[in-house]
Amino acid sequence: MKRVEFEFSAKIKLLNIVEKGIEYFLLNLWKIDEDDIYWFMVGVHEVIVNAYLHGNKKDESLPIRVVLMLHGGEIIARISDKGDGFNENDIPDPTSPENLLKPSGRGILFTKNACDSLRFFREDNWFTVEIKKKVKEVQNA
Amino acid sequence: MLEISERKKGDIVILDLKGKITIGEGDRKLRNWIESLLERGERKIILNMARVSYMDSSGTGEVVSLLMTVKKRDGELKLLNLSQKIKDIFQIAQLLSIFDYYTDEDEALKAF
Repeated sequence: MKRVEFEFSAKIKLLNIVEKGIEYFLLNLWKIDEDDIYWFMVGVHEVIVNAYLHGNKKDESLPIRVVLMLHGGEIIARISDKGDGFNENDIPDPTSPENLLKPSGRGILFTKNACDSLRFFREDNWFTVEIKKKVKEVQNA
Repeated sequence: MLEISERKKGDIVILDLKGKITIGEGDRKLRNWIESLLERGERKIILNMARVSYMDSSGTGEVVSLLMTVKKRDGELKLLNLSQKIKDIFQIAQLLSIFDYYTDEDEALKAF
């Protein structure tokens, strides 16, 4: 199993740099297929933004922890924040007619569709969102 | 990072977008640009998304919100050259049907 873990705290404009770093790592060191990375990063981006906005409530001093693992052709991201977490059942369906034209509320929907699985858990004072996706590894990338 | 360049054909404004429409920068930049077009009296707008590489949930929400803003001001907003990935993102959100979108610029221009 390959594994990397780091923590950061940042302004929202700098989240992009963290994501670019993850993307570079997945492409160049773990040599994962570019298309798989694109969709996996759709999920990673939404979860990191969610951790910053709703988990840490934009408090730039609070950390976000990222754990990435590659095992058996599956990539796993565990993204944790210091917030109270949420219940998936409390999130309105953004595709229902009354919510369709709303400007927000699609993050979980995007993550679910971009990745193969999504789960939430609380552990050691962190609220964690775990996403998994089957990926192709490219030998000569 | 989102780059926007503006050109005009008759009374139709085309915004050529390049980069990402995401939270914090791209979404706000696009909103500000379109609001300034509306302030100037422009009512026919095409977003050329050929070089948009990625749009997150906030960016998607912003494009929906802009469509509603333009309609409320008696204008029309059309999309041009959606890549397959951007089309997939709209499709996930079940939003493709609310937009007029085209693959050919002349066709989009004629549709106003």
